[in-house]
Amino acid sequence: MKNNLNKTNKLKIFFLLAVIFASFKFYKIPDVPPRPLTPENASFYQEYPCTFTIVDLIGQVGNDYKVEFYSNAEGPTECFGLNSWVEYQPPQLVENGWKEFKPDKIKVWISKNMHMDLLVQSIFWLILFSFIPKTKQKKLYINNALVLVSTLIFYLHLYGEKYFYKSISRDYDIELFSYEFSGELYTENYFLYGYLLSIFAIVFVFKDLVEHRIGNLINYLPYVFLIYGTFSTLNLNIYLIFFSFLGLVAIKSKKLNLKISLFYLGISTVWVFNYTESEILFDVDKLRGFINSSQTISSLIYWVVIYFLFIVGINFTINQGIENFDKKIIIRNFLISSSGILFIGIISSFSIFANYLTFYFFGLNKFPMRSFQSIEGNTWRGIAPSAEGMGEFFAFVLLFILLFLISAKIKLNKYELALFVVVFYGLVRTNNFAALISLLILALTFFLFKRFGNAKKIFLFYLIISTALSALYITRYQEFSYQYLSSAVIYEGVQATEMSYNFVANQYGQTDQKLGNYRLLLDLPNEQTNLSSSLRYVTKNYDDGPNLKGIPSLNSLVNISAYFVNRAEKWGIFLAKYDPTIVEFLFGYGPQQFNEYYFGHNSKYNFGLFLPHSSLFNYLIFFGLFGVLGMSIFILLKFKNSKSLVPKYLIIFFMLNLIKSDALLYIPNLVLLIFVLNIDKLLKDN
Amino acid sequence: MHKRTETICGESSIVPNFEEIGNNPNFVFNADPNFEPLTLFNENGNTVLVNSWLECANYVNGGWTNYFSDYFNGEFIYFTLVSVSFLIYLIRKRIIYSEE
Repeated sequence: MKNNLNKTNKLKIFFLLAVIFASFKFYKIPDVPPRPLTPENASFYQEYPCTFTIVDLIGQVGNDYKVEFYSNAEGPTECFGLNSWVEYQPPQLVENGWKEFKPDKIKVWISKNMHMDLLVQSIFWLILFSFIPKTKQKKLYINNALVLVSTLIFYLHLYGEKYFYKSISRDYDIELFSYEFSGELYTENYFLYGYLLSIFAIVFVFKDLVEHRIGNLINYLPYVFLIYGTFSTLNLNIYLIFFSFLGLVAIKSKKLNLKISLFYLGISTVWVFNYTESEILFDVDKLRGFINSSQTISSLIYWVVIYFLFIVGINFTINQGIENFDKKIIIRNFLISSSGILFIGIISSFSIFANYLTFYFFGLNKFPMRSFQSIEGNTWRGIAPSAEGMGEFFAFVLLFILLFLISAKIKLNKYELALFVVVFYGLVRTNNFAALISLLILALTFFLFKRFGNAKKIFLFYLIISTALSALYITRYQEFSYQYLSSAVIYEGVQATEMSYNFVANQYGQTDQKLGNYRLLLDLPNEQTNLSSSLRYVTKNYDDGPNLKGIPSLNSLVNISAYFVNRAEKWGIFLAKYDPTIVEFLFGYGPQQFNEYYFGHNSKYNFGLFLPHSSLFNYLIFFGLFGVLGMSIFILLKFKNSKSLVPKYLIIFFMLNLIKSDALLYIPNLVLLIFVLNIDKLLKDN
Repeated sequence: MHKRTETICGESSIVPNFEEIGNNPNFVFNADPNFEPLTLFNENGNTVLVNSWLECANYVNGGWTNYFSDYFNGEFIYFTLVSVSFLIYLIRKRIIYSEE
């Protein structure tokens, strides 16, 4: 039996290597010999697209020029994995730099194709999925009809996100059949047939694999951070396909909370009726796979359905894994996954070849870092799309392990200890100070509480420390006045607003906008100040709100806190852009809907991807005040009803960090949050 | 071909009668000032500049295109490849199931 298992695993590894080898056409011999990748030869490669493999091209990289590889999503099927375009980029002046230039480089684009990606990447991930050991006692019986339902949902995705798919595929056509000019029936839309068959096959194979593995899936959830699962060209993520399918299974098995489902259905009706279609394409950038790209009703319905199924699917997976949940295994997997991120990030930063393959086969949203050096803000994100999100994950892993170690519930062997140190190094490299500090404080508090068991003394200890630090700051290090700090976010919001009013500048060239003359700005006609509804409300509250002598208002406290967590500018931009009506503020725009927030109100930041840098604000955009309140109450109840201390600490850690990070816009971090909210029942049964 | 015509030439309310155009050796395509001239080529590498939507549609109907990959039906090959692979998977699954 053991021999058989080894043989199977060897075969799987062989298939994994075969997929890499075949998909990038490593066997192909070019018709013309490649030339060195120099600026002079860029035109040669432009003349011969679809000729050289990535290996041919890497063999031509010399020491004189930096070469960077990118993906071209619009490539035809037959050119998949081959060169698409080569360009020389001369040295560029560094922004705000003084005669400081970025070095010149050669950019090489490799052809990608949405159909081929769907096939190649999903085969790779399904083989990896098959490595999860089967459970003997638990088997799930899944109706084949659900595979068809799932395929139809992803047909809706292709239909709804037409502006995205039109931009990457020349043959985009969503009609199963159409008519020729002569009236003859046309049934050769292989673009659509290929897509639908691929989705059907992926879900079908997944169904076969998951039936015997559902009980063990929970222990392998940490790998969602290592294998990110985003398709290279599609606005789709493999976990969205997997978990939404399991969501359908849960609904079929009647394992869902009816009250929450009805509430969601009610709020969905508001989103649909309140929606305005537009031909705008939202550049999904690093959020690819988990954000809506097109402002159409069908794409809104798709995201409403898929988000719900995704959440239900993860909950279902966790519930199915209660019996098999194993602390030892999950901790080991957390350590392997997080240290793997660091190791692969390091390899990818040194090797161009590894960099490209990692991007593709790990399903990354963004190319890994091309250098081991930290960038602006001293951060290093490795293979992750966001250094902040990765820092949170590293800190979470460390805290999770520390809490169990302090409770004496687990012991680490020497290899695990080594990986623990590696993860700590990874956290330091992400430069996520907030995650590091919250990790240290929570771990210390937990330790003190376990040791002394006196919450009052611990509270007093922190009160003294925070008072002393505040006094030290005020007397020694305070740079700005209280007046500025108490309106830091509002000030940045006003600066980010595109105002048409013709201000008169003072002798220093400063206008009332620059000086932050809020009272005047509020008095001016809104057509000319263009203040968003949220910024106007917050500014008015700051200007006219209740004033208790000596006690800062809640508004001021938020502004001051934002300054200290380095979020004054980001949250100011959020306020300048966020312009909801009352209904939109109460109910939101719908899950993963950024279009209206981005393009609905003119500001100085209606380009690029300026995220709110707060999951709270992201969810306010998506689900509105009612949604955020509902979720907060749910999390508070989870916190209150938690029998063990570990989940309480993990929830606090998450809440502290999510307020100032966009982590919930990424699938792995959302999966982790749902895991944390369910951890109490997992520990209870173990 | 209808869809490909739309992709290459753009959308139009004209319903072309290619048979009639083909049978009339004296048919002249009038240039449309609102149509951006387009260069098409065929498999032999010949090129033609079309000046109206109807002319463009006529050439596309005759197998001309503006994109080199149109001569390779990648989507059809892809569809066949996935169909065959999936069929093999189903047959293999059936065999394993019957052995158990």
